[in-house]
Amino acid sequence: MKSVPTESLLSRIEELEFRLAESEQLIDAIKAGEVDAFAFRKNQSHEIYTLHSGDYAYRILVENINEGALNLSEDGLIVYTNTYFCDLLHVPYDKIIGNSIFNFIHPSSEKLFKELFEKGLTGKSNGEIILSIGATNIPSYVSLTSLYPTLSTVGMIVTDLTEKKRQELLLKQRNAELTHSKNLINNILQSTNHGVLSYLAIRKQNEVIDFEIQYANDIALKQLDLPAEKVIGKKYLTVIPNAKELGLWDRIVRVLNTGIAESHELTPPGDPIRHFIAYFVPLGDGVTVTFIDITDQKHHAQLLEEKNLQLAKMNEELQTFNFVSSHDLQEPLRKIQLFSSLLLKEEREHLSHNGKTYLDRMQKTAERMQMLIGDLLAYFQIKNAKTRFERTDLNDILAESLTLFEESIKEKGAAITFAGLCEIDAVPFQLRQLFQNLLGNALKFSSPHRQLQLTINCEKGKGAEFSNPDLSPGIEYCHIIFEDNGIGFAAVYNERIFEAFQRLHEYDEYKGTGIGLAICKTIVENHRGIIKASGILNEGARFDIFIPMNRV
Amino acid sequence: MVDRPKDKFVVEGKLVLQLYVSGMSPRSMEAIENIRRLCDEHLQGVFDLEVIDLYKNPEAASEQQIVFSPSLIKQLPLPKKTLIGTFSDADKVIKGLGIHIKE
Repeated sequence: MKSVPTESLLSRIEELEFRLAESEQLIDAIKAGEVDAFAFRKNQSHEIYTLHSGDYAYRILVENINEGALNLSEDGLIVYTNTYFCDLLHVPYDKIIGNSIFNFIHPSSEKLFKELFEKGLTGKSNGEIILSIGATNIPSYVSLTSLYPTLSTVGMIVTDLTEKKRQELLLKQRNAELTHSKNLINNILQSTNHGVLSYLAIRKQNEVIDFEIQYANDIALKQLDLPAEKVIGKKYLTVIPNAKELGLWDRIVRVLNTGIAESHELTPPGDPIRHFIAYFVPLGDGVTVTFIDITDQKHHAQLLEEKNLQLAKMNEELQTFNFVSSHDLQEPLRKIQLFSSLLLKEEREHLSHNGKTYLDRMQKTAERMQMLIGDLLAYFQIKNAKTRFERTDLNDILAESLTLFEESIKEKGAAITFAGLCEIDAVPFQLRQLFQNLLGNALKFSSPHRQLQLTINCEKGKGAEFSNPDLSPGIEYCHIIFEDNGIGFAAVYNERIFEAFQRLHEYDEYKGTGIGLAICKTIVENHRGIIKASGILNEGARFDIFIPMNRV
Repeated sequence: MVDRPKDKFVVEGKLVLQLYVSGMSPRSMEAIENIRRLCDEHLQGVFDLEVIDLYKNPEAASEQQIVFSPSLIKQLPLPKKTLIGTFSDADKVIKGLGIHIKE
């Protein structure tokens, strides 16, 4: 026997005692039935042996189920949890096991869960609570059961309601949207001035035998003279029994079959007779009909037609009238003038002073009448002229007009200056008339106190450039200005001066029919332009004429 | 629940414990409750308790040759100590693990 030092022996004994204690403890535990399972490494894998093995299937189920499964102690401590519950909370197993379940209940659900847990201690309970971890809230359905006496724990199953809640919310939103859409459509249909009806086909062996009236707005109901209950949801042929007679049935069925919308004018029987225009539009397996009362429109259209005819007739008559009667009027006038002048010439010695005066006045009156007729004729001709527009040089027009007044200009010693006259699209004859009238007026209404100075200026520009709201901003105009220093007129008459027969002076003072400026206005309007007058009494007059450069 | 004397043991040095359980088995659940109580009521200081479920984590047993459930293993401070059972007696557990306590 070898001699071994005592110390090493003692320490070896201690070590062995230590290991023995462990083994004894193990055996004690096993004997006491305090071991449930053991695991050891077998080759590459690990084996776990459960000493009560009947629950294998249950174990697999609980561990793998798609629900949270927990066991809670009487104090609410989580003494068991399956993997699902940990995954649901996104918390590792370590942080859940051994912790109180109340750590994972949202404050708002605390009271309810306490109640459920209480009930679960002795019986069963279930309810909806909110689990929370950090900032995440998980709506859940929990089911608690007392596992007493087998286990002194409360079993708890947790179902995640997140998805369900999400779907519920979505559904709620969709419903709200739907209701809103429905309300909107209904609002629109009730506020329109059209009657609206919607029909759904009723088929027997695929043939359309009738329609169900799915919708009718107030105007439609009024037209049918029936309350909503008697129309909506009812059969078409019942509500409108004479639909086939009136041809409505054929129309609706045709639109349904062809899928092509139609519109028709309808005059249903009734008193008083009213006209409608109806639109038939296919929709799904049905037709939507909208209609509107056009009785008034038709009536107005008819009236308009009649009035137009009357007007055309009147115009025609007027044309003939002024052509014929002006001639008829002028002829006798000429005779009056002729004979009165003959009388004055041949019977001069035989006439008394009064006689001469009377005849003189007769002549003057006849002359005046002639001027009037002439001007009236000119006015109507200008108004109804069938005109031809040409590129016209205003310089030529002015030159021609000045020639006419040559003598008068010389006599008055008038100074006429002009500048910038351009070419425009116009009716030369009418422009000549315009210039003549304006020139004539300037000469006629010159001041006896000073030399007549008449300026005729011209410029081009877009309507927007001139501060006149009556001009079209985009059109290029020719702006002609006739300005004189004659006797002028009060600004009050700026507008009225263009009215036919508006005379500001007695005939004896200044000869004239009062039509001249009316003719000017008509000519300018024929050219789609405008003419404006501005006068200062005793100082002068100014006429602004705007004529589009090109024919509009 | 039996009332236990609330003596606090102050742990000396770092304490690392591992509790092995086997899912929903009755002993496992008992062990978890007991160890939890033990730690809360009787231990103060720095200690690390890891609960390992053999059914969830079979590989965790690989360190040991054989692992019983429920069992409590004291990894630190050395020497390593293993206790098996449900640990209903806190005093026994403390003594058994050989946890050094300060007075």
